[in-house]
Amino acid sequence: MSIGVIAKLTLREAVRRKVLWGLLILSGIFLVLYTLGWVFVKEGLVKFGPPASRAVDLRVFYNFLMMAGLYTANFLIVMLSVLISVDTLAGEISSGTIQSIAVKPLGRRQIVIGKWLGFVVLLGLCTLLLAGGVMLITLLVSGYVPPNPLSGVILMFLEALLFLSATFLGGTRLSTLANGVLGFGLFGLAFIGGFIEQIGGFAQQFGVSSSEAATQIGRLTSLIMPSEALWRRALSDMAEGLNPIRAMTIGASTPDNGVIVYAVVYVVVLLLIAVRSFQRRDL
Amino acid sequence: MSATYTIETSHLRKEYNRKVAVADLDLQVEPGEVFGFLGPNGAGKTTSIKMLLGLAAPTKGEAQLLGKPIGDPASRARAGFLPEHFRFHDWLTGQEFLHLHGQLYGMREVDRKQRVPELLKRVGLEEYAHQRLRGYSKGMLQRVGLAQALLNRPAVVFLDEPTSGLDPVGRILVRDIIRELRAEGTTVFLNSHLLSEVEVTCDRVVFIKHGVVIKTVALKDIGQGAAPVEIRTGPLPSTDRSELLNGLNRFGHDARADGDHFQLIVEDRHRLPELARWLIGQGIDLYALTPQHVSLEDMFLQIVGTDGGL
Repeated sequence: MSIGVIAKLTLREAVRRKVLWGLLILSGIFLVLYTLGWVFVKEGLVKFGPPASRAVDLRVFYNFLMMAGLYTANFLIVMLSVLISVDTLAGEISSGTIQSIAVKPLGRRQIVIGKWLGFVVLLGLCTLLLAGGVMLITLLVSGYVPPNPLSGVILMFLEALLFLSATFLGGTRLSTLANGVLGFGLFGLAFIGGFIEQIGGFAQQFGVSSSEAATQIGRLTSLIMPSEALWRRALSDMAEGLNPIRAMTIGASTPDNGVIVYAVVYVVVLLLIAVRSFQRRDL
Repeated sequence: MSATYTIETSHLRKEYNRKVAVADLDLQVEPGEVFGFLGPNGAGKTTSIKMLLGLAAPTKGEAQLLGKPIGDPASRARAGFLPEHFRFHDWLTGQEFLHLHGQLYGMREVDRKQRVPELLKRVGLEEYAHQRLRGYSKGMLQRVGLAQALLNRPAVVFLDEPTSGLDPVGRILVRDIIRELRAEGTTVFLNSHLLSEVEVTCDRVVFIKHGVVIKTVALKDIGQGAAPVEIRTGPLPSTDRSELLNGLNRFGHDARADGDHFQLIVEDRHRLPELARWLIGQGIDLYALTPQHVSLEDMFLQIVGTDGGL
C-alpha cells in the first residue's frame, strides 16, 4: 500500500514540475511542426505526382519521414526521463524532505520502488504521447503504418527506463547536478559509441580490417549503456526499405534480442542497486 | 538491553568519514517521561536522534526504541518525529499533507478523517487547512509539522527544536501539547536550545558534549545540591576577612568578599543552617544568607562550558 502512496505522490509532484511542462510544450511544438511538415509533403506529392513515377517507393519515403519524427521523439523522451527524475532522490535527500517520510513505518525499498513506479507511469504516458503521436499523425495524414509499431514504442519506453534507473541509482549518492551530468553523460556515451560502431560496420563492408576496433568500442559502450543499441533495434523493427535514417542508425549491424534481454536485466539490476544504496545511505 | 525503557542506547557511536559525530552515547529514557536532550552546537544531538529513528546507521553500539532494535518499522509505527529543519512537499495543502503522512503511517481513511481535523484544530491551523503549505509562515509550518508528528498517537515523540521559528503564542502551544502528551503517558524526547522551555516542560535532562553524556539531572532536583550563596554581614576588620574566607570555603568553594558582602558556592544546600550557625558562632553580625536560584541555563554553562560547540 505504501508503494502506491509514494507512487501517487511522485506522479502528482512530477506533474507540478515546470521542467515537465517545459518539455511537454516543446513536444507539443514538435508535434505541430511534424504535422505541418507532413501536410506540406502531402501537398507536394499531390502537386508533383506520386514519387513512384520517379522510382521512389512511397512506403519507404513515408517510413523515412516517420523515422525522422521518431528520432526527435526519442531524444525528447530521453530528456524527459533524465530531467524529471534527476532530483527525486538527490533533491529530497539534500533538502531533508525525505526525513519525515523515511521515519514512517515503510521500508526504504518501498520509497525507491514507489517513486520509480510513479515515473514509469509518467514516462509511459509521455512515450505514448510522443512516439504514438508521431505514428498517429503519420497515419492520419498519409494512412501509413510502419511495421511492428507496438514493438518500436515498447523499445523506446524501455530505453527511457534505462535512464530512469540510472538516475535513480545516481540519485542515492550524487547531488542533483552531478546526477544530471551522469544521466546525459551516459546518453552521450551511448550515442557516440553507437556512432563509432556504425562507422566500424560501414568500414568493414568496404574491407577495412582495422575497423574491428571501432565496432568493439561501440559494443563496449552498449554494455555500459545499451540505450543506443535499443534505439537502433526499435528502428530496425519499424524500418522499411533502405531509407537514409535507417542507413545512418542501423547500418551494418542490427542489435539482436540479446540487447533487449540485456536492457531489461540492466533496468532491474540498476533499480536493485539503487534500493540497496538508498537503504545504506544516512539521511 | 532491557525492554523496560522507551529508549535505550549502549555505547552508541557515529562517525562520518572518520569524524566522530557521536562518541559513546549511553541513554535510558523511561516510558512517559519528558526527556530533554541538551548540548552545544555540534554535540551530536541531531545525529543521535537520526540514529534512534533509523535515518542514520550507527558505526558501533546498540540501541532500542520501544523494545525493538532501532530501524525496526514496528517501532517507527509508534513514533512521531518533528525534524529540526522540517521540509515538506509545499504544493500540498495542510490537510492533504496530513492525510499523506497518515497514509504513510498506514492509518485507515476513517481514522484520518477524524484525526486530521482534530490535529489541525489543536495546532491552530483549522482555518488554513485548505491553503497550500508554500503560503504558510515559518511558525505555521512548524505547527503543521508538529501535527504530522502526532498523527499516529505515538508512544514516543522526537521533537528536534520544536519551538524554532515560533512566536511566544506558538511556544506556549508547544509547551501545552508537551504537557498533554505527558498526561497521556507519551514519552517526549525534546532537543531544544531554549533552556527556559526545557526547564518548564522536562522531567529530566541530559547534557551531552562530543556525543557523550556528561551529566544527567532530574529537574525536580534542580533546587537541591550545590548553589551560590550571598552573605551580608556587619562591618568586619580587614584582618578577619581572610580568616572568614578560609572558614567559608569549608562549606563549599570559590568564597570571595565584596565589602560587607561575601559570595560562596555551597556544595550542599542542606548545609546552609550549619553555615548560618557557624557565622553567628564567630561573633559575626549576620544580616542575610541568601541561596541564589540556579537556572538550567546557569547549569548548562557550568556543565558544558562557555566554549559551546566550538
